[in-house]
Amino acid sequence: MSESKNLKYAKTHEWVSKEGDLITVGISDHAQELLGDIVFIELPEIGRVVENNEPMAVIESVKAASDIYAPLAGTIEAVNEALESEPTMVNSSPYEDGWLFKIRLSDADVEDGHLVDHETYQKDYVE
Amino acid sequence: MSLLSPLNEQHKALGATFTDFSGWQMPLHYGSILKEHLYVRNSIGLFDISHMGAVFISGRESSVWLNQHLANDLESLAVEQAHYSFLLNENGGVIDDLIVYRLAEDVYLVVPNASGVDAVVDHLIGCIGEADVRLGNRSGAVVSIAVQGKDAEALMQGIFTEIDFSQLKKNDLKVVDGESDSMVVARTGYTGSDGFEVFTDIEEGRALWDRLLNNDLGLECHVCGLGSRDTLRIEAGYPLYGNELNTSLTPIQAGLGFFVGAELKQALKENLPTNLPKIAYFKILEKAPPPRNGYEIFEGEHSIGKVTSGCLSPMTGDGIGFALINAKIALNESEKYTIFIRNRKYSLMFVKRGII
Repeated sequence: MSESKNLKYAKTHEWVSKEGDLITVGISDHAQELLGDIVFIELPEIGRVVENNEPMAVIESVKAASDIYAPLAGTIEAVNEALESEPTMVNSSPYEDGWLFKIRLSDADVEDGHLVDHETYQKDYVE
Repeated sequence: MSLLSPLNEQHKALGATFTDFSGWQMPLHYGSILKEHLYVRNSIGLFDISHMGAVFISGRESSVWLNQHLANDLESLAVEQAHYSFLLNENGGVIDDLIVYRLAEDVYLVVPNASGVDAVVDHLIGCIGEADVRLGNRSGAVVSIAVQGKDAEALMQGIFTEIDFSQLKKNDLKVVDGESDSMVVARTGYTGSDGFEVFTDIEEGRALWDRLLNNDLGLECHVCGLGSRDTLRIEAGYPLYGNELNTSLTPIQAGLGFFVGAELKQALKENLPTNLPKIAYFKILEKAPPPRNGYEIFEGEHSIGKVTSGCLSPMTGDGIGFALINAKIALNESEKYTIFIRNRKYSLMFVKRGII
């Protein structure tokens, strides 16, 4: 999972990959490991407008339900519908097949200083 | 400080993730609750259940005495058999649910929940009086292992060659000699699959755990934690003390009257007002998030109760579980009831308990 090194991370364990004004969001390998077997995912509706840090999806493992927060403000452009029938893809492939949703940013140059790089995430939020 | 199972070092070496359960640090899983669940349904799962109690009762009057104090009819329990029973308080509420193993004419092993050991032992000691009964509480000094699953018999037969497992029916048991202590081997379990439980001393238990896991019979035996033990028992429709059973519910309200002796059952029923809450088993009829403790259940617009245990069945994907219900309900009615999860209602049906 070399690609995970080029991502940015929220302290609530979401990863963010940014291309222009479109971001793809998932959860980190560390987060999926903490949650354990994922059995249900509730994704947001396409077109929903979300604020930075707004809870907008729910990931349920056997033991608990966890909120997923929008790392940046914008409009939901796509969701990973394959997760509805195969939620464990988030466990097996958190950075690729297990992506959660894409957000079209309301401002492509939005301030994202609250997101950290891979090294900082590992150091401050994993270990 | 948590209590540690005598098998704690083994669990650590096997990469267990631990959880606190009634004061014990026990394996929650060894990587995947779902996989461990399926190992039991499809092959063999090995559980350390040493957190459960082990209370030995013996003495000339032990049978008569124990029959006075436990809810199930002990006269129907033959030597070398086990049955499910309860210790009840004066109101018929459940102090604990337990398994009684009749090891010999006047010797019993009573296995309460980890959370119930103190209450059960205190209560029973308080009842001995002048009776010719001895009580030995060996909880914590016994290794208890559950070998559960479709292929469990083949594995057990390969290890305990002195027992003919084809003749050992459900709830039958044998006491066999080990190196340092005797071993109780019973065809019992709490998973809903075929399986066995073994009770023995620490040294013997550690050796047995390793023998089962590293058997040379070509049978894959997978370690399983309390996470899958919970989903397995929910799928099988078995209650958990603290969730479906407590001191303010009688076994009748919990839907477990079958395990209460006839006379006592009659008495409990006579004292039972019809409007008391009761435990029911449900199945969600559409794709839904896992039902969890506390979620509300509705009949139309009226809240009629709350979930006490639930999960998505690893076998079928259906939302299943138990609920404490304050109303008269009908079984197999598909359009009356719903469960409220987060922001919407999902239709649900009450069914006879257990889906496997």
